[in-house]
Amino acid sequence: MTLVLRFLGLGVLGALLVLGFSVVDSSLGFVSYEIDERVTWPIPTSRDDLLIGLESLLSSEELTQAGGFGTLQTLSTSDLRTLYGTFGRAPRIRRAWTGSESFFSSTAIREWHQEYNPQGLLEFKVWLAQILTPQNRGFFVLSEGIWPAIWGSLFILLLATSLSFLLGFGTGLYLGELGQGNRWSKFVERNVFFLAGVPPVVFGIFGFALFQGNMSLLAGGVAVALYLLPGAIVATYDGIRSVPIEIRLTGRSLGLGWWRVTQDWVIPQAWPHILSDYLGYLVRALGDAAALLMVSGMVLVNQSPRGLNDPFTTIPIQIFHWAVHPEPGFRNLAASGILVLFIVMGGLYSISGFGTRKRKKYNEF
Amino acid sequence: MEFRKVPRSGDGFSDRLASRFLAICAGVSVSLLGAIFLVLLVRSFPILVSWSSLEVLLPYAGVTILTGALGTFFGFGPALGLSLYLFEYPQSLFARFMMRVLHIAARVPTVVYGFFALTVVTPLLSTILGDYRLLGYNTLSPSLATGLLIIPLMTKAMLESLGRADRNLRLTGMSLGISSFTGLVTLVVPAARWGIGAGVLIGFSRGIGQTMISALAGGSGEFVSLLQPAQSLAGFIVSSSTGVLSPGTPEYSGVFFAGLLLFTLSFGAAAGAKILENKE
Repeated sequence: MTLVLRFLGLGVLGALLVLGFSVVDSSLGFVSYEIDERVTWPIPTSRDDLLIGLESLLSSEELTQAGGFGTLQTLSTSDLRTLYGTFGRAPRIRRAWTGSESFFSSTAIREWHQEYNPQGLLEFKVWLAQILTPQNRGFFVLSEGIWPAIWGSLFILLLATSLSFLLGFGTGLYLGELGQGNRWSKFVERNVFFLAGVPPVVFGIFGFALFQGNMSLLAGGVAVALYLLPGAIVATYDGIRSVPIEIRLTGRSLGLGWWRVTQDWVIPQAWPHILSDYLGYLVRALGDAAALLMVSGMVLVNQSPRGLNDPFTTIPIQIFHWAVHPEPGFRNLAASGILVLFIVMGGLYSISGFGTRKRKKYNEF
Repeated sequence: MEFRKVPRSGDGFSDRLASRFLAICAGVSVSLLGAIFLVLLVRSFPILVSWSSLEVLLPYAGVTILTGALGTFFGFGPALGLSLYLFEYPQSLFARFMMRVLHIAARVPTVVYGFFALTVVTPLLSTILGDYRLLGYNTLSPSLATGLLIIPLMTKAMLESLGRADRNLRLTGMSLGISSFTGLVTLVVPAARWGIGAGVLIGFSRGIGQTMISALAGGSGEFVSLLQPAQSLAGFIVSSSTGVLSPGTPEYSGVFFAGLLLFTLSFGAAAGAKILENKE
């Protein structure tokens, strides 16, 4: 019987391993391009090369369509790269293979390439390297980048924390210190339990209603703030609860007021615990796409937000965009986006260990 | 840990100010849940009063419930087995390893499970079933991925309820000569049945609330069979948010109605879990 249980565990483990493997597997592999001889590939990074390249690439009609050569010079470098990609007939991907396919059946891949795309180029591509190149922020498959999404994610978390942490902290403190097991505090506790169970997409819809469909960083911040609020409350409550009663009693017996004791003794002691738990919830919010689905919408964004009213994109949203795209190459992009998401989440999560004096235990999950 | 009975006499001005502020914080936090519900209700009012639009949307809710229920069905066995194993041999190497694995798995974002459903589960299913109608989108693979998603959550809830079950019961059983494992299955599990039920409902609530898996791997269209694409509430929300939503259109109110449905369904499941937990 134990053996059966262990096999069940191994099954779950196996499924998770397959998940991890498929992500890593898709993030690199052979790509078969169709090449246009006029294009120098990859897209040049320097502005002058871009302008020269575009001038030779575009026909006179297309140049007018793009606004004339004078307009070209007023465009930003990243826009020029996008233009180069779209007008310049960038190499189209005929087919993209996963890492394991490239490794185990490279001869078959070469044969396929020889047969269906003999003029093209067969190349081993590391998609992760492409999306992590800061110059890549275009709208087509070979110039897609992740940096705007990384900045968007971090800004959203910062904004959401500044919007909701104080509120959650106050509520948690109220429940831990003042709510003396009375009816009202029980009601608050139950409410927090249900708020934590609300599907994240509902927060996004609420933010959408609040801002009348205005898809801005602020609306996203509000949606994620609501998502984070129960986390802040629970983290504070647990942290406050972990401080022993003797601290409070000692303080009170010395004649200090309630708030003096809480402010100077209880909160500083609970702080590392609160911070570390809250960072755990931040990691969860970082990975959540659903809360931002309605407020960042399906709008494609290729720039980091610069103000509260700017459109934004986050890493999970970007992954979603890539994953729904049916053309070859986009699933590889999605997989490497997931890798980036894991890296950022892991970085944030590892910070959460520094706050606590004791090493985090894994006996709860 | 009893700390709540610290005397509150002799409060000064700052004490009263601080406690007032904290009470206001608690009040605002509490009112948010109601505010969300009210906003969704008001905005979806045009849909609620017209049966023809309801008729379009309710099948999507059916698909969402089906995905959640199937996910819970697939996840229940592994979750119960894992929680029994972790409860029985918490110190064994495998258990400690699985703890860490579940610790990580509980933090994997839903969009990753969606990607998994789309790129691994669906091709695998079409290979196994040999069904070429399984073109890419279906209801079965989101359900399977949902099952995987909620396993850590359900395992945690079940493990907690097993831990709360009466220890003496099992010791009595063992002193009467039954084996440790028989005691676990015949005494501890029945004692923890409400808690296990609560775990199932929590998993179901999460399974309904997941959006990205259905949105990525569910596809669109009317529900025909598990192996064919069908639109869920999540898919509906995503597909209506691709266009520009202008107030007054059925899609606009429909999104809010979908949110209201998701809210109510997961709220109901969570409330059920709470009731079962209290019954224990």
